[in-house]
Amino acid sequence: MSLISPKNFIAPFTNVVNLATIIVVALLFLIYRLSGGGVAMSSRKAPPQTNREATVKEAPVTKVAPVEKRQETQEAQAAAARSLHPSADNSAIDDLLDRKPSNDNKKQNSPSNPGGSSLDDIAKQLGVE
Amino acid sequence: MAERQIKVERVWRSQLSRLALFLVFSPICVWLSNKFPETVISGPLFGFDESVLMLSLPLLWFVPAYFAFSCILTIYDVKYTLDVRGIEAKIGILSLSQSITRIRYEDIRSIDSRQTLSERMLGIGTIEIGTAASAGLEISFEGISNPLDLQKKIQVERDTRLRKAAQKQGGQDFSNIAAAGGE
Repeated sequence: MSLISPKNFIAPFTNVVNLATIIVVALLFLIYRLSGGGVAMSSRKAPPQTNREATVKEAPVTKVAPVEKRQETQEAQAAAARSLHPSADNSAIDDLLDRKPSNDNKKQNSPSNPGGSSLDDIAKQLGVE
Repeated sequence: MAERQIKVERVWRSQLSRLALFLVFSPICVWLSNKFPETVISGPLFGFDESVLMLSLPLLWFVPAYFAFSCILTIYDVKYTLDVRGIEAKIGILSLSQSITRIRYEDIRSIDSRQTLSERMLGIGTIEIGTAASAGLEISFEGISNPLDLQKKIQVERDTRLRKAAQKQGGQDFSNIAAAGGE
């Protein structure tokens, strides 16, 4: 540190020519910034280096879709089954679970479709109702 | 032991016209760049690891930058020095080719100063030094401050050196004559 003299740091500001140069360069930089110039760091989007990484990154997205699709297909199948086979056990259970007003229909259907109101029968036999 | 040197610099007042153009074009550049954002180009400069250095460059900024850098280049491209032995002019320090001219005080034959009206008002000018070696000018100090004072100082130094040289020569001549008379 003894080799560095404070005079060397102050020297550019004591000379008028150098001081004017510093001011002009500072003005130039100010104009650059005001005109919209600048430097910024941004993270590069890492390209998929390996297939494993790509699948891992995409896995959560792909996992959701099949499950949803499965649910949709199940619901569609259930609806189709209900429409085709109203006497099916699944439809009766679905009705019990989902829609209460369908119980009247179920009761009406029960004499003609005993299989459809098996739970009611069970309940009656047990004396719950 | 370092020799004492007097450095004569070009001053910013000598670049007043280009400086004025720089000051005029600066706000115009800012206004136009903000009004027409498409003149600002952006792109990646270089990247390392997972980061990329993005640069936004306003194209209109090059207009005031040209005038500023031309002023800086003109001022710092030359170096005029006065030391014990003579006068030196280095021209082209920041250029591809550099020329260094050095003359002694005793060889100086003419010292001329030139100033235009505006330069007289600003206190700047040009000094032209000629020697007996060539018919034209040897060294030209352009864009310096107080050229008349520098001209006087160089003349005084030259006259002092010539007087000393003459006295030395005269003393030798006298001793030669005395020796010849004695014989």
